Amino acid sequence: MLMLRTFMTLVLMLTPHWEVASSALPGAASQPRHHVVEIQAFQFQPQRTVVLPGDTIQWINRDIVPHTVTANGGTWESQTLGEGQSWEVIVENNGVYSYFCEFHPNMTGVLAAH
Amino acid sequence: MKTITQSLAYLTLASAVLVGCMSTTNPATAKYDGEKTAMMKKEVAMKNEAMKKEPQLNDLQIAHIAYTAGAIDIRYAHLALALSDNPEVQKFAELMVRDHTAVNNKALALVKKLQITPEDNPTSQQLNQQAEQIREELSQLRGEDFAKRYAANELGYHKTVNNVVENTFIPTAQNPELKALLNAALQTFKVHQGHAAEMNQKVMGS
Repeated sequence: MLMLRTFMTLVLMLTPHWEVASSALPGAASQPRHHVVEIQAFQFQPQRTVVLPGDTIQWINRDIVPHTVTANGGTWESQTLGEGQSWEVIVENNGVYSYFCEFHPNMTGVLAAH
Repeated sequence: MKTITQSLAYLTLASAVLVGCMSTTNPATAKYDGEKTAMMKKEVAMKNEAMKKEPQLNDLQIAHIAYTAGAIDIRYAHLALALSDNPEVQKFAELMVRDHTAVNNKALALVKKLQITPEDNPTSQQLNQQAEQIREELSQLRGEDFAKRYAANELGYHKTVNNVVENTFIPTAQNPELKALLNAALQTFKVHQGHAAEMNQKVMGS
């Protein structure tokens, strides 16, 4: 089957109300990093990802059924990710973000930006 | 489903009998063991005869049955989406359409890649006949009655299919790509079984 790969980048201003938001770190010494979270066997792997503001997080669906990456509270949500498809977010602010798959809510993950 | 479960039962019984035949002999119970062994041999012969009548499934038949089972669940789901306004039923039915369509599309892609044609067989036909009866039954129900019957059927259906896929199809399949797809499908269907159990709890408690 032709594997479609769509790459959508969404820059989000993630400012959860329970955290004091800080601005991105334009003068930070380290370069922004790219993190990959694989969606495999109905799990987000790794389940918890620690990032710095400015880093990119990419989710790739390795399962044969569609999944989503949806933040608790609806702050952000990917489109439906079919097999082989991916979605990216650049985190600009500190925060701890829990997310899940809208289709399979037992699948959960955590993104910790600090 | 009867044919699938019969095949599984034959395999299980044959294994149990063979294991029984391998147990050590105690002289004090030699006469009893002798009679028991004779009975077992007779039973093995009967089961072997049954298995001859129920030949082992080949890959083309397994592919056909697995696809049929998925298609049946999609049809149950469409019926649920049309007849039920229960949010738990709606959510589960949408999941079934989405996931089983993805798995079946994957199966079709594999069939195309391998340039094979799945083989219709009595088990697929029986599955379809039984599903038609259940759809007929479901289509007469409304409201809470529909939700409870649909939920119970989905849980039972996934339990049965998962058992057969895990214990018969995967060990029997010869093609490694078919085996891999069955494993991935089983992983999906087990998640569905969990969702079906949750739906039952919520629907039965409503």
